[in-house]
Amino acid sequence: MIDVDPESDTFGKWLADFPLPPTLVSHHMYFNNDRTKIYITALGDAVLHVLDITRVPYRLKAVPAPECQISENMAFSADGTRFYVACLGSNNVLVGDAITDLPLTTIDLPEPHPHGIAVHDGIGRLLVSSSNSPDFSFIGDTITAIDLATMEPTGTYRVSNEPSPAKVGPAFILFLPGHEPPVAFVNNFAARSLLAAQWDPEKKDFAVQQIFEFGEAEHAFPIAMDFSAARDRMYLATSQPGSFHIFDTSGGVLQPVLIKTLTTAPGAHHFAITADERYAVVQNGLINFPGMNDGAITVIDLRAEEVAGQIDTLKDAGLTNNDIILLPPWNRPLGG
Amino acid sequence: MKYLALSVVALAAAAVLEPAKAEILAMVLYETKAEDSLQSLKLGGGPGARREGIAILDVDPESETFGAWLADYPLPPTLVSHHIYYNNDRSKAYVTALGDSLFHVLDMTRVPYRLKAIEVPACKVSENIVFSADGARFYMTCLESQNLLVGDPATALPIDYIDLPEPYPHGIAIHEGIDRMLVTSTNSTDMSYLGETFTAFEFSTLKPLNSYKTSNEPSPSRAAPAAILFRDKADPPFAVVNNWAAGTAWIAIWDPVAEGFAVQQIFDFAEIGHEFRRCPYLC
Repeated sequence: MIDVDPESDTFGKWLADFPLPPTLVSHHMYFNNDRTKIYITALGDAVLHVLDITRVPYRLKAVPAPECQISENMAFSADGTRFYVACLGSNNVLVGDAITDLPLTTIDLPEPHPHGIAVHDGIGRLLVSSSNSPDFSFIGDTITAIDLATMEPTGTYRVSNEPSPAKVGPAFILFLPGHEPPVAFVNNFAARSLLAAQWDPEKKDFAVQQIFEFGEAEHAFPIAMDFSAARDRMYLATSQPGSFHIFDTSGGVLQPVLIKTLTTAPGAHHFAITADERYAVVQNGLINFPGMNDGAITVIDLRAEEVAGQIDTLKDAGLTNNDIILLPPWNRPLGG
Repeated sequence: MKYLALSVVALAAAAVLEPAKAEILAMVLYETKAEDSLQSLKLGGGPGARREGIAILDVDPESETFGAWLADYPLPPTLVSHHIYYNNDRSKAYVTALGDSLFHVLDMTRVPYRLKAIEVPACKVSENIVFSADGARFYMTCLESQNLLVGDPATALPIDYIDLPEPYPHGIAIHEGIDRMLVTSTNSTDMSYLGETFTAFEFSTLKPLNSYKTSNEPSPSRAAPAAILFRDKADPPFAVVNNWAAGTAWIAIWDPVAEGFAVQQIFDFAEIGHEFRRCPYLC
């Protein structure tokens, strides 16, 4: 737990620590809907961790989930009673009870190696990307829609205009909250491209289109993204060489215009935006890949659209980082 | 119905105040083991790997999480944290240190707890801390700088430093009912000096009054009195002093007529085979 406010006297200070098993390879953190618990996925052990933040000190609980190997991204149902985990190693989705934190069932998938996952209860759909095998011998090029009511796949959509196998590597998926018609954004980490899957309410189906592509050998590994609440800005991090990109979306979220690229550090991966949208806090570390595991944390001033500060606390301790979230009251859900 | 209502309120209050079942939490000051220990345990270590911190552990043997390391508050790796003391209302914990001339204050009213480092270059090798009954002052023994730090718990800042008639203070105890503060003279950091006295101060003025020897052997007996503890509610008041090198416990009984202490040995650990083994530390 680190103070990331560049205006604070204790900026960069490591305030507290909650130890995890050294074999875990923790990967991502997700708040439940009421932000009382944080779920932690893992690439190493087949275990989810749940951090109860209503107690002092916070309490970590390990939940064994042997049916879910290499847990990646998570999403929650709108009523907060179910969680869904993309299990990249076991090629399935784990459905769990977000009250007891226990696994309930799994969903088999038509395409392997799920990574990104997003839920839209309004249209009753779950989207899952087919990303990559752990050894990268397989790199996918599709997303699959699942009917939340039946847990059955309803369609698989290619996220590349190239012939199969395009090996584009769709990873992160984000349904933009409140947008009509519903639209999900998908980042292809290998193809360095961004696509949108827009819901057609009449056909009850998605139409996929590419809306941005980074140029050759420029910025690689786009993964996490977010939007301003006013929807006039889109933000995206790329891990190589390590950047934070600001897009103007005032002309529409499907027409992003890259207006600024800020250098962070190798491995720029996830970022968290403060509730007041003053800062974006970027963690620079992508699954401990050599050259993409810098370990610094970069704070971006979103008003000035400049780097406001860098935290080397973990880096100086010989550590890298895998994910970052802000605690309440600074936390803000994706999409604002 | 009035009593019933009060009972319900009392039960509700008890439920709120009762700690979670089967869990007893403790704060533990920890540091990386000494290099020879790491080698004997075949563990890694070496420069840069040293760690220090405050670990919160579940120490309830009946708990499912007995022994679990719940949380960690990192301390500087050069600190050599030593002791931890609550202030009177237990809202803050003070951490003394043998390495850096710093003490730390852990504010336990915030989530997560917040650690603040207070630089005290005039207090070297901070040992024990006591608080005044009203909580308005704290007193910290500074073994290496051979003085006593008087501080303000409200700001956590030093107010004054008191010189001492005997060197290397370690244990400290206050009894405001008899207006006395006792400070032991224990040992230099290289152990070349081992004390044999504690000194009584008039607490209201912080003036030294008398020093008392805690050994029946000829001086220098090198008995090394360390911890000192008042039995607050005893009448007459008394304090117990442990001589760590001599392996003995002494008692200092207050004489209200003479306004002084009568000291005597009350236990010798050699009697139960727990005498201090001087080697390899003092041979």
